[in-house]
Amino acid sequence: MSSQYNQQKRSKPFKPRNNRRGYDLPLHKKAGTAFVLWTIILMSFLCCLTLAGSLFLSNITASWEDNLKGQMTIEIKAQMREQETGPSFDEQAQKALNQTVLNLLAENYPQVSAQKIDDLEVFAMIEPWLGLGENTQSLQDKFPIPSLIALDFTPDNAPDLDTLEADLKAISGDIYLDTHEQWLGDIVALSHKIRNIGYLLALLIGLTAIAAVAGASRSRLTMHFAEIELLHLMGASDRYISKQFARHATWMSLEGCVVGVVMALSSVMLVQFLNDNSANIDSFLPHFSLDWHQWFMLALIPLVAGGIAYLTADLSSRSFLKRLP
Amino acid sequence: MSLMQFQNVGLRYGTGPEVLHDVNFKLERGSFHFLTGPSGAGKTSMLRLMYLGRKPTRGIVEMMGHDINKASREDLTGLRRNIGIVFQDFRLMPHLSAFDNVALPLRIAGKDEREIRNNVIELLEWVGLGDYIRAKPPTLSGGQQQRIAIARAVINRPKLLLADEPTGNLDDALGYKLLHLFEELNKLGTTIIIASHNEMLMKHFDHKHIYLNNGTARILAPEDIPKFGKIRTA
Repeated sequence: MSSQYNQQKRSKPFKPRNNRRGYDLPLHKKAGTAFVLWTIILMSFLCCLTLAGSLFLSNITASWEDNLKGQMTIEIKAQMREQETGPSFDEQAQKALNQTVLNLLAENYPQVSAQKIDDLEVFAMIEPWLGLGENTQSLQDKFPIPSLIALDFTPDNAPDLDTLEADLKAISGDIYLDTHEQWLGDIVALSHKIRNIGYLLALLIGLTAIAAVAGASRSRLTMHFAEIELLHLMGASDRYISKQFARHATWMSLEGCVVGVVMALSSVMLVQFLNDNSANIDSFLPHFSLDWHQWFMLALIPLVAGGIAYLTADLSSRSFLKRLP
Repeated sequence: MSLMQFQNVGLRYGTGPEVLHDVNFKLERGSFHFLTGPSGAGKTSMLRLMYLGRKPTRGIVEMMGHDINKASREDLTGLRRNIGIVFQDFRLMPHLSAFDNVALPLRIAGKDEREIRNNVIELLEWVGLGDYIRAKPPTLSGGQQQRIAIARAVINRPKLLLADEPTGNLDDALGYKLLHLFEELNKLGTTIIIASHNEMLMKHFDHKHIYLNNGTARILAPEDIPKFGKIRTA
């Protein structure tokens, strides 16, 4: 045995630390670590996906709001006249009213670009629901739909809504100003709720991961009590011992989180790639994309998790060590 | 100047009976004592108090000028660094090499790695384990493990060295050699306390005994050590 060690001594320089990360305690051993590591991988994967989903939803909502910010619609109720056979569409009166509104806009609101939407376009919009396909006049008799005037303006130079509404009402009580606020507000509120639920889920997943790390630290503290007590009796401070647990938990979290986040970000990229390259999906779904700073934020998850793991393990081991005299 | 003083010390575990009671003695710096007594007399508990593994439930234990009941956590940590312990079961870290086991007290004290390397290798060579620097305790014999435990206890040049049955795993010849080694350390100024049952071995050394019986302690000269359960009185 002696010659064997002498040979080792001659063949390679002696390295004092023979454990991977220089722990005095046997924390580097894989037994008991694998389960926690897999838990962290899974948690970070789910957390990253949930956050990516919430950010995506946030982007869509912002995009909707931006797109509709400089748009309004004037709705002019279909003008009807009474006949012996019953009420029928009064095309002349409708055209006159449309023109009056267009004149008002041209004279008093030069910053607004007004464009009457063609009746056929309006019919085309409702065609999937009503199954039409006849000529306009007879359709108007059957379905007196309103005339629509689309208004475009730059959000910085928007007309005063109250004045515009009052001017329109002065022309006719049958004219309405639709700012899209009502329906958009509902959709935005819904999307904000879903986004917040996503953030909450990510938080819960994060808290579960923290609990797993804290539990693992405590079980390791119990498992290695004899070694910890020995270090304590040799004069090791609480900081000296807790630092080893904290460092171990940090590395373990970093390892697990990097794997989980890489898996999640790869999935997000794959979905984005499929979304970009599929015409069918594109027609139904809004464009799936994240800003560079959002990618960066998601990529930072392992660092944040590592920091939290350090604090969690440090605090739980310090509270445990207080039991020793 | 005293290194350690016990005044009316009592110790109990939880709500159980007192395992030590009314213990009074004082040990001078640089002294050498055997801790003896019948089985169950409280030697392990007494050692625990001495290496600051427990605080007394009553009375005062003064260690190197500090009342350990009043000392702060940081003070106790500092005091422990001045105490070397050789446990009966050695308590070596099985996953660490002989080098790393012996280096532990120095690393805890925050010494420089180069200094640690030099001191540890020198000490391991001195205890005859220079060729086993990388060896892990489970691959070594009981005697070799004991020498590592002793090296670990003395590497930091402690002011107090406590050894619990250090000759338990050794034959008489090695036991004598070990006790002579402790005597050498004592001459260098280290206060030594050795808990032992080995009367044959102890009678060859003229050191006082801390004699424990029924949970209380007396300092006795070697010739006053009880024979057949009786204590000789002057």
